[in-house]
Amino acid sequence: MSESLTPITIHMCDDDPDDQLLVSDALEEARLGNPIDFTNNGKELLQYLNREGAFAHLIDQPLPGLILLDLNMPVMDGREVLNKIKQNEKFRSIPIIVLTTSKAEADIARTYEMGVNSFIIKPVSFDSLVEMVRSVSDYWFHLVSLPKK
Amino acid sequence: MNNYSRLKILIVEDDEDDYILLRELLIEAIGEVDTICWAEDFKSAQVKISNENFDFYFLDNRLGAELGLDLIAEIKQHYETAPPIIMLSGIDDYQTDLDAMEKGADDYLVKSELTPHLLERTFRYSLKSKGFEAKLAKLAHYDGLTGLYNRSLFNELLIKATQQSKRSGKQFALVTLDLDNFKFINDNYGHPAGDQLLTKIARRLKHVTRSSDIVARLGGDEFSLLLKDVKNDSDFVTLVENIMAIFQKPIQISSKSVAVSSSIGIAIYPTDTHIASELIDYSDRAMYQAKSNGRNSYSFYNQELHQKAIIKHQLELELYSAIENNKLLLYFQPIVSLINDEIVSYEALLRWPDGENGFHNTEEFIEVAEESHLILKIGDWVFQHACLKLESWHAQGITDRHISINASANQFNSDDFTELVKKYIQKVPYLANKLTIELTERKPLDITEKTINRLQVLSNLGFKFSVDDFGIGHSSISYLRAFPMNSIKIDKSIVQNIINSKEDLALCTAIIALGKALSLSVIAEGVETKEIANILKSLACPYAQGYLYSKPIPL
Repeated sequence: MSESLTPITIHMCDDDPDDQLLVSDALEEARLGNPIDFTNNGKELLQYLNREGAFAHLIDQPLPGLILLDLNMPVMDGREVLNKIKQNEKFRSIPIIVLTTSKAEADIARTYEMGVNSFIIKPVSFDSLVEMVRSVSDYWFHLVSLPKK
Repeated sequence: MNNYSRLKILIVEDDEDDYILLRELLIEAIGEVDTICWAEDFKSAQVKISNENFDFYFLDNRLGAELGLDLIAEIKQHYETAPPIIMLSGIDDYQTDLDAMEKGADDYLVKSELTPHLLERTFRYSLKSKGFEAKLAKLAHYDGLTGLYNRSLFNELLIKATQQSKRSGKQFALVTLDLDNFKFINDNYGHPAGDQLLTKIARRLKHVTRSSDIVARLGGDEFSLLLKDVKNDSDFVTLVENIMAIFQKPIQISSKSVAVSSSIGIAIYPTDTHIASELIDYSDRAMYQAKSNGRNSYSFYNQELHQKAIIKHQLELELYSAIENNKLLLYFQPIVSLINDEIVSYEALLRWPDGENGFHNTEEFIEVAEESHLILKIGDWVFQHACLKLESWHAQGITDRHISINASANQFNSDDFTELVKKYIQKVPYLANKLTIELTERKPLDITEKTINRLQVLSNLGFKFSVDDFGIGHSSISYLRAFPMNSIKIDKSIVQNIINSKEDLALCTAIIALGKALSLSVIAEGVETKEIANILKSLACPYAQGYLYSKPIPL
């Protein structure tokens, strides 16, 4: 079942370069071959999804199969960009996992209402981050095995 | 969800029917997997084992004249915790079973007894115990918080590094790094924030070091690194400054930006000591020295070496900036015919102005450049500026001048220089016939197929090659035969001695004869007096260069 599938691209939107390093290292450590790319805030994420501006060269590339989204970012934060993505026919079906350090319940409630697929509090230790990446990886495999529309 | 769908399995089995049977049983037992790879004999199994990683190994014991048992050790050496290895046998032989267990196989199955049910159970049990084993190994060797090596594995790796360096003769540095304000951060932001800081610093350290380096967290806020395969002391400064640089950007913890700094101590094997425990002690002491120097700094255990390394590093930085800002100059010294005293060519010599009137000592800064990548930049610069000079002469109608430039053996270790030259010559083809590339005999080229090809490519374009400083280096006639050489330059130490030393006179005579025999031009370097010039003429040396004719001048 898995041999014909190419791994999905994972996109991470997070303004902290250290967190970007952590997640890409954890992917590598978990030996998942998925390519990963990054944007630094919600505005860039929209440009990336629309293949505009600095991302125009990606026009022929398939959209990411999964978005890891930070909530607290400058310029346009995670909540605002989530709203915009979920209102967009083209993007609303991309699964989104919110990664944040915030435990505030309001955040949780709001993000669930916005159709977030999962809500994960960024683990502090590298080991648990690798575990987290591994545990959602099965979920990604299900995603890629869905028939394409 | 199929638990085994991503497994890669290797089956070593010399009987194709047995392989097909096992494969079918496997699929029945555990469903489709990622790959089932088949090796049909001992040799091809060895190749597959060393080139690929598998999650599960099945080894038939009888492989022609070889035994599958002997593959177990080969598999194990590729892993810290090897994946499950299952031995297969045609007959139920208790001794083989014991041997297999002794060598580290995880199970022993008799082919005739195989059923899907048995295979499924073998998979489940061995993967579970392996998973546990791997977890234990990881706990014992890695720091869970940062994912770096822990103290116990670091100590092992340090000892391994000393053994490797002893064999290879290469030096390495033990770097101890301690955060300056970790306690403050822990106290003011809380322990989870402190942990977050450590994981982020760990990632930065991992990314600023090379894959051959070793990064460990020894506990608390103390990190240790092994920087291996370092050519010279000033490279240590570069590597350590890269590490210092990761603290320039603040780190986000609990949504706040925090500035962090560190103190770093460095001890070097074998310069400081060749005993691992002393190395740890010395780099610790150096780290405390850095702390007492006002933190956010680094210190070498060996202060004298520290000073030298820093001066050299400074010179590298200045030289780099001189190249980038085009502050280097080319001077030209004529090469003349001893038959009619006419100038046949000019040797381009590099000058680096130092202050108002003087120059840096060329030999000294070239030596520094040779030890770093700077020599490549210099090589490119010299080539391009020699070309520009020839082009400007050409524009003035002077078309009969030739230039020889000096090149380092390092420029022929990759294709970069030859590619640059080829591109340039495509634009201005006439230049090739006007340029000679001088290669010093002091640091000779490696005679490999690749370097020979690179020189041949340029030779085919019309470039000429010359052996510089001939007669004093270690290279030999084979050097002249391997490379497409056109001329030899007799080293000035020989030329200047031909009046006082019979041996040097004989050597000079022999080199001239050698040149004649191999159809190579011969140029005597360092000719400073008429007397020497006359002797050279009497020996029928065709060309000379030296202060008697002209010192190097700007043209």
